[in-house]
Amino acid sequence: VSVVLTGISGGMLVFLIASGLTLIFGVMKVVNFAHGGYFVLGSYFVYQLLGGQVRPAPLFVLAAIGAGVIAVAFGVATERVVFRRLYTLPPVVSLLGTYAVLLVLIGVAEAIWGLRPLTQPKPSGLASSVVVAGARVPTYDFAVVGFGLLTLVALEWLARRSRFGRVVRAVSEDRTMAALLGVNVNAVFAITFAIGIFFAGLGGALAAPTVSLVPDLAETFIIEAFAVVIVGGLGSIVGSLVASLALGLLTSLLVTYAPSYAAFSLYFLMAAVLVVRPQGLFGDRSGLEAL
Amino acid sequence: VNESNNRKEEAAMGASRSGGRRLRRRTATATVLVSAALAMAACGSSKPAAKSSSTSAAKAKTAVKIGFVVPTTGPFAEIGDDMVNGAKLAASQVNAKGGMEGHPIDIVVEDGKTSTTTTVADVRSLASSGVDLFGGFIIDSTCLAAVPVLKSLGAMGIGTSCQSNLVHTTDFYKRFFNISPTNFMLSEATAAFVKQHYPNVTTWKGAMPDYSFGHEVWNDFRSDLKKLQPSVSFDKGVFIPLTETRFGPYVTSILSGLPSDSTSSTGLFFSTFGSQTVGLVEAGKPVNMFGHFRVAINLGGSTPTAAALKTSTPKVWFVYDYDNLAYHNSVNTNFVKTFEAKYHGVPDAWSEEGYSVILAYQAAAAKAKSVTPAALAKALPGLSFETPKGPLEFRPEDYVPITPVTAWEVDADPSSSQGFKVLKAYAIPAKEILPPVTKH
Repeated sequence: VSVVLTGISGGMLVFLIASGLTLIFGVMKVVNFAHGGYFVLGSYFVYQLLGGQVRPAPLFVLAAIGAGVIAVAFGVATERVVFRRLYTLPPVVSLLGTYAVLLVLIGVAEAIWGLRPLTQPKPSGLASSVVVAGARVPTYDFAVVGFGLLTLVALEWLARRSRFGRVVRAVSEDRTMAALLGVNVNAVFAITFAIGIFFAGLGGALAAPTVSLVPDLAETFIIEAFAVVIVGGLGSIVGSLVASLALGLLTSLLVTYAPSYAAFSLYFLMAAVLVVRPQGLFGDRSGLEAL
Repeated sequence: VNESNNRKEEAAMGASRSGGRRLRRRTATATVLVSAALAMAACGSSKPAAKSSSTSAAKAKTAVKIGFVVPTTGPFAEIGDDMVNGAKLAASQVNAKGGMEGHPIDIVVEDGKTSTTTTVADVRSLASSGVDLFGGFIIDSTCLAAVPVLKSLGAMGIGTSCQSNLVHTTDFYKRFFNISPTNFMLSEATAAFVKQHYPNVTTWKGAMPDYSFGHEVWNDFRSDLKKLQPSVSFDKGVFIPLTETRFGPYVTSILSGLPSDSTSSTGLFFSTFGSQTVGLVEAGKPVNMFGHFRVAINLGGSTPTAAALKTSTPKVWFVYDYDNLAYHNSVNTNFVKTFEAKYHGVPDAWSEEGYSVILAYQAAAAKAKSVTPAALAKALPGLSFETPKGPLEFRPEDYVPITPVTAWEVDADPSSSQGFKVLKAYAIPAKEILPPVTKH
């Protein structure tokens, strides 16, 4: 039981970052490597806001949301300065451009917080564990799973039920036609980007108590997030969730029962799915073509 | 910006015109006073003058560059920084006394990360700029990658944390040394320590970083302890990739299958270090991971880990190269005092390693009366020189460093400004833990 729950919790953290990534790709068709940088900034921001101290859970949640908002401020600035120039360029250029932004963001974190690992303790009330079916499971894991599900519901509602979601889908399908019909495509891009970055920052803040904070944290998470976005299907939020949970479970199972294969869990998952469905679990061919 | 600066300059010039004569007079007075003060300082104190002349002596010959290839970015950057700090401190002290045979030491740092390819590229790059003496290399794989390149260049290296046994056996190079105890010595010391202090622990679990160091020390620890305590048993080893950042699954794996009396019968042996240990401890805290074991021993761990964990520090024994409280000699006292004055913190094992590398070069140069790689490498084997851990000597046959291993226990302490305290510290003598001699 603990193996499964640990896997689900780990998968949810990846989903939080992947959800924003797939949203941005789905709408803007930009492969955003810088996403990992906002994730790292989110984790450092929550550390800064809470002073690296144990705080009550409500305060932690507020700080995590605050970290997401501050990450958005950084995101909006880089969107205006860098990303807006990449939308019409070939994918390889935007890939390099966003990777450059990632390196700059890692450098910013390094300059502000240094290279030594920092820790943000879990909030009081969520720092212990509960026994589920005989297994001891950290209560914080349940909080992460709860946040992940809330993210899924919020994004699905935004995409399928809201007016903004309809506009986003229109821009995603044909940005020229949407512009001709009076949609401010740049504004849609900026808002979508901001939402994606918010979830990256929030994900970083929620991950902070489970990792040691070092600037290079970005790289591990961004690679896993990209993998689940591809496995789930480019642009599919539900697909990202399923792939994230599958990755979390597979990693947890391999670490416990076949440790020597655990490092390959990401590649096992990608190979198993992409051989059968190159477009990913919930994706269609348009995502691959856009890529 | 330029326009604004120009305006500021114009405004400043206007102000200076109005009171220019007064300002010039003040400047002239200040110049006279400063000159007088400097002259008085030079006359009134013989010590600064001596320091100045010795530094001048060190600068009389061209600088000898020592290339330090260590990570200065990435998860292990703090280790590289600490090593460089130690090396720079030693270099400044050696230079103040006239340098290496009159040559001032210039530490040149390259970011080798923990990558073998970057390390090799760094060594080549430094060599192309005239560097033929090297230090650093923090993990076994980078050391083992660097050795053949140093060999092909005819360069010399003294590793800081090249603990792989292979450096002294199959990958031996007559101009490559390592300042810290080998994996064999660390494991042997840990086993001896366990037998002496925790003989009632009958089962051991392991959590190690997934590279040669982690595998070597786990294998060595098991075989060494089995020899000392034949009845002991070992559970599976959990290997954690160096790039891992989420440790939840590993905590689950470590705790799976524990016996009901694990708090009295089972010990946890782990050899993670730096950010890996921090992540592992934080992930294990909600399920009281360390509370499930009679004792936890962190081979390769060091005080900076506790500094990062602060009050989250579990009660754990570090078994590694150096803790300042374990050694009582004048070199250590001077090292700790000058390090604290310069860097405002207590030196850790990595700083001591960087420091001792420079002392080794200095001792070799004094014996060889030369700073060429060939002469230094010839002078160093069998030469005893002082370090903060006491006298150190490289065994002539295989260059195994004859130096103690240190065991020190830490625990959380909310009343301390650091959040933790060192409870005890022991030096485990080298003679008890040396590997068999390998002849080359």
